[in-house]
Amino acid sequence: MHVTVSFVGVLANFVGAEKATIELPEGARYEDLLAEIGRLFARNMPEQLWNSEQETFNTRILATRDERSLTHINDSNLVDGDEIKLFLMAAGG
Amino acid sequence: MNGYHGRFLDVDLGAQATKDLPLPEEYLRKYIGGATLAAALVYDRLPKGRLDPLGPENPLVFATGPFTGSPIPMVGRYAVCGVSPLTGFWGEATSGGKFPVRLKASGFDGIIISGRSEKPVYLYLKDGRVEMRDASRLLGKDSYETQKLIKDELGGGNIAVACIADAGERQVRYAGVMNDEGRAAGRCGMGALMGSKNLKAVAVAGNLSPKAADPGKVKEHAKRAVSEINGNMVSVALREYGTLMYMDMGMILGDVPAKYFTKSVFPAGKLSGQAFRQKFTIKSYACQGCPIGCGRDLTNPKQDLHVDGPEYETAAAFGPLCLNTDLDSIVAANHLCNVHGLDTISAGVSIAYAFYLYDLGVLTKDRVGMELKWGDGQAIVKLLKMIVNQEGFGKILAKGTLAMAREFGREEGEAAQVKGLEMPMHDGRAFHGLAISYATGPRGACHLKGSYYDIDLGNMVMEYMILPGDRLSSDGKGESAAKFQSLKDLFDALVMCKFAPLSPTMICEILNALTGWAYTPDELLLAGDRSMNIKRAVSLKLGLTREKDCLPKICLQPLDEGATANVVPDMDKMLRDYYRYRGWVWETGRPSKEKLVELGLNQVAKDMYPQG
Repeated sequence: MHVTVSFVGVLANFVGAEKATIELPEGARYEDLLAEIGRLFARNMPEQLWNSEQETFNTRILATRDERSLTHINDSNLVDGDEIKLFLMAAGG
Repeated sequence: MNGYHGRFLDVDLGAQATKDLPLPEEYLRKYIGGATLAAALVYDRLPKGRLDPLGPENPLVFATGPFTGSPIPMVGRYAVCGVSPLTGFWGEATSGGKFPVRLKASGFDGIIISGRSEKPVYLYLKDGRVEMRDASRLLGKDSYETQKLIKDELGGGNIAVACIADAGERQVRYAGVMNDEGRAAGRCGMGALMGSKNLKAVAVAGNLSPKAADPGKVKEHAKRAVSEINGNMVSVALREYGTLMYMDMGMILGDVPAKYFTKSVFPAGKLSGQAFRQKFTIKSYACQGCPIGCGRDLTNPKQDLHVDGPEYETAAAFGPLCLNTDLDSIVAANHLCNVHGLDTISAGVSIAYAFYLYDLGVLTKDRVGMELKWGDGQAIVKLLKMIVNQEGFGKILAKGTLAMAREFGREEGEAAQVKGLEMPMHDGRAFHGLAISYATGPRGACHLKGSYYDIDLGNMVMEYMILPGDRLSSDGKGESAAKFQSLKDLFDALVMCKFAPLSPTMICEILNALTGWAYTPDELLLAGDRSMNIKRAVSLKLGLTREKDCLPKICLQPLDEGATANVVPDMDKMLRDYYRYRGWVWETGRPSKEKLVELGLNQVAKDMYPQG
């Protein structure tokens, strides 16, 4: 299945991409998506952002299907065609 | 005493006299410092009956806190407080730089200034002594010139200056106090209050540092705090892009107000931190002792430009709020505000309101002196100059949105302000916890005391069980927003940057190592509640009622597009919840007598409930 990931705002600058379409096996979960993100972008990301050993973000990142509710997706299965937005949890000024 | 000098400088400008104001340790333990301590001092000095905020009896306070000048990172800050000339209620503003650290090193924890000098003066504090010096030749000088001239006059060296510029001298209601070149204690018009006293500046220098109770522990905590800050991704993003990093992300969330709060959709990418980086050469600027450096120092050799760069709030106020995407005009507007000493938020919102009224046909070319079309960056710059010079239409713009609504016969709910202070650049429709924080903020609409977006974006304060929830729900938000507001209010007592990612537990450990006290996180929250209530008590003395704890209508209208379309916060529900937590009486807006006593505000209880 294919999942599209958007790195929103300033996060895109640190990941080195605004968007990526990622192929995952059926039944994949958020942690599988994270492993793929690491494989594709770990080399771009500063250590404060990405933990290469644990294959996860080192900081709170909000992953949501819906920027309206901002419900975090990390406990649910991903489905084909999912569009996931990732936000660095920071608000300026 | 540890962590403090235990004294303020008490200045009577009318009598041209100064004296020491000793501050007992118990008093400091109760009010901690910064804006909270200032509120306690102002409360005691407020005259009975009406107060003209620009009159000599309105005290002006410069205050540091126990953290100021210590090796702890992100604490190079101070507060400037008094009754706000813009709102008529409690007013406070904070700023960072070298000035706060040198104020503390001058041998005083702060200054309280009353009266009005006949001639313009500035104060020079050094190593526990003070001089009142003639400032006649500084009149009309801008903030950068003023700081330089004073430093030159005093022989340079480690002198820092906080001053007003011409906007403050002319008592523009939202004139700020400027320090360290372009750093601003912008909000609430403290520059106008300073101008009303004929006080042009405060210069500070010295080498007097209070002892810490446990210097070894303080050093350890400082090391740990620096490591936490440097290991934090938000710090990295702030260092790289400044607060502007939020612009495009905030717009996706519907949190960046556009077109005078009537829209939330705007091509924000044109004004992002990245967009500024592409157009200008940017260096970061750090307040003393800050490992982040979110301030911007901006150059463009092609334009022979070297200025302090805009913060997110400024870029949003002169950008989306006015539908303006022209970076040059935003940079120029920011620079004008710094040079002349204006709050960029109140100035931007007032100008956006003018665009809005012009669009409605309420204002005309004849009345304004020019055409106003949404997005016209040059018009923004022209209007700013008119505000500073109090020229033509600028005279009414200089009084803020509430005065504008009254002047033009509009309903007050159209003025984007709370208690007279203009709305910052986060939209309460995008985070309902923010909406209630705005409505109840001690100085009016304040995003810094109630940055609840931090919580609903996924951060939490475990000590107080302040946990993320549905940002577009009003359920349970009143209480948790109140607790968060109390915590953030304490940051301005300590005085510490709001970006410092330190937990209440760590804050207590640092405070205890500095002072020798034994603060616990629970006591810290109680101190935050006390802080909110002493500021409330000041405003209640000045006529505040519960009816003012609201958002203006313009900021509660449902939007027709974007992430927050058709959702508005349930203000009544949250306000009732908030009042329950605070122990405030619904009918009067006052803290109950029991709550005041619980917080140790016994004198306030006696004043507020004289019948017992």
